[in-house]
Amino acid sequence: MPLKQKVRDRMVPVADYATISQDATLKEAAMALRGSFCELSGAQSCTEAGHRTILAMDDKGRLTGILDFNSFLRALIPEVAGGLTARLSALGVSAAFAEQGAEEQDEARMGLSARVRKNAQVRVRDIMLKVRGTIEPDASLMDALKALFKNRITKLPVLENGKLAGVLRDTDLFMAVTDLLTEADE
Amino acid sequence: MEDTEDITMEATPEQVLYAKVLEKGMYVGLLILFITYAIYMFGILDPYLPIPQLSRLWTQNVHEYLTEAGIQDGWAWVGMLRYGDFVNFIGIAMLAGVTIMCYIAIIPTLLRNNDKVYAALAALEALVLIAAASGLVAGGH
Amino acid sequence: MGKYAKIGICILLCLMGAALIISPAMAQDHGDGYEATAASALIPQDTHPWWFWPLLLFVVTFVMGILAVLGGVGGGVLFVPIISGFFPFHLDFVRGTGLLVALSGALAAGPGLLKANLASLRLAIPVALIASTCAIFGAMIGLALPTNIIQICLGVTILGICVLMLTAKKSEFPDVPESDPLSASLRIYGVYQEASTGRPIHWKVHRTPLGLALFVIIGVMAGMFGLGAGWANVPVLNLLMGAPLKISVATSKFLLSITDTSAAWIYMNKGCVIPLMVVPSLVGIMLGSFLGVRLLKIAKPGFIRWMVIGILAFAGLKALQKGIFG
Repeated sequence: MPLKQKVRDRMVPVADYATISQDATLKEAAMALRGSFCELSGAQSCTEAGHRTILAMDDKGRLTGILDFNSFLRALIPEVAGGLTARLSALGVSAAFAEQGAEEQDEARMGLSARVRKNAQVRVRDIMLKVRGTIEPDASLMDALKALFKNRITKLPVLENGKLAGVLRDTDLFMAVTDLLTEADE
Repeated sequence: MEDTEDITMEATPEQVLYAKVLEKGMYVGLLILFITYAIYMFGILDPYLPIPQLSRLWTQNVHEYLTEAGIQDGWAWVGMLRYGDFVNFIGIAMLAGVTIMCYIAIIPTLLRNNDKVYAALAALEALVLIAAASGLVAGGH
Repeated sequence: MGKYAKIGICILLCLMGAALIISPAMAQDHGDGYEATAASALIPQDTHPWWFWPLLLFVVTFVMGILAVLGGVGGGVLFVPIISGFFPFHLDFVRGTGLLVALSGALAAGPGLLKANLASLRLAIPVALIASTCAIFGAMIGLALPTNIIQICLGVTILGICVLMLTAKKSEFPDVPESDPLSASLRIYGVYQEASTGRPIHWKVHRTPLGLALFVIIGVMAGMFGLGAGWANVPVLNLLMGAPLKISVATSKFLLSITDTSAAWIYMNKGCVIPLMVVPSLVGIMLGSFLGVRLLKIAKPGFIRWMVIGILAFAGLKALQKGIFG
């Protein structure tokens, strides 16, 4: 029965998942995520079939955070995608430049590409999301389901003895639960 | 140009720390200010000086204002927080005090980076601001 | 809505604000002597409802915030002249409120400017020490001198600021051949990424002792008049000390938060802060400047700067008139 399986039977092994050092820049993390998401190793078009998040590790190989598409957008275009404080902060800075008649110096009025390139210099550790729940490889899938919903997350890192062994995604659990429906039809 | 090659484009740790303390303190101060102003405007706490009276007194200089309204200057407002107008001073003091908190917060970071000169400057600035805040250097009439 | 419709709304708001300014000045009765004892048992002669003054201050400072951004004139330098010139509040309270208004604007912009490494903490700390200490003396002097003397000085200063705004140039990347010994030993230099080209720009400053000496004067004036000193900080940092314009503007705004903090405490401890005035003014200017930034993206009418400097000059003349003729 699928739900009697263990987490390690359904998880994505860490070797197949994109990871990045937490000290890397957002630009490096974005390139790594694009590579993983697009599943390409050449210049072909993006398959968009890969994983949609990237894991941040410290220099000892421990999991410290996670980045998804939204966290990238919030950091790269805060005046649009940022929270209220980021947008207010951007307005305050713009007002400061405009009040001195220096609005042409205001970075928020620069072209989008220049702004994004500048914002991509931020370090991963400054914007990564906290890991809200983890699970052991030998735990049952039911426990994994509960952890996912209790923490309101979609990716559950799997830690074996504190070391990252893989990632269990909501899609893996969807497949596991709906396998029950395919069985019943037989 | 060689003497400036050792720095990066990123803000120094003490600068980032200052910014973080400043941001939090400012938002907390503004929030408190808005809440206390609502308390004042909607009469949740009665003001010490009713607004019609206040508007007659604010045409005079501060010395006459304090005398006629019977208000003590300095930190006496702390003893008058049950009044709707004086409770606003909590938010105002918070906004005026956030810079002091920022300076104090960065001193350990400066010392850790062996920047003794700037740690001393920051400590001096904190002292200057605290002296101004304490009312010790009040001059005047 | 077309861009000129939005500018038209902005101008309508200005006229509305102007009308509101004129009406209380005509409605206020001055100094009927009354006997006041405790806070109650008094027949009020001000017939305005309780929300009148906050709302009026909010509307006027809101327009002021928009004009400050569109006109390239700091909100901190507009508040004291205009409010003291056209409102019945005494100059003591206007200065106290003005410092808090300028302070909050600087606090709002500070974190963003620091995190982006545009405001330089290393440049600011020594300068702020001088300026904030002198602002304390300026505040003490400003509260000790008789009001009419302050009005005259304020009027002259404002007219001087208008001249400065009309004539001062800005230098985007000043040529600094070498740091002076003081700034070199304090390691006042930095690098930022010029956004248009993506190149890193190294900067350093010179003539630091002379700059610090000028900040003595700037600090005293900020404390004495309750003005936000951006109009003075930027030229000294940019033209005299040679910091790039971007760094100068950002550091100047950040500096205001420190200078105005020390002066604001002096005014507050002397009782010159009236909460009823502070909050609507503070909120008005901030919201006005946010809207101004949005309007700026659409269009920047060139005449607004002239109009704002004109209003400022008019306020300066009014201050002179009040000081000389009482």
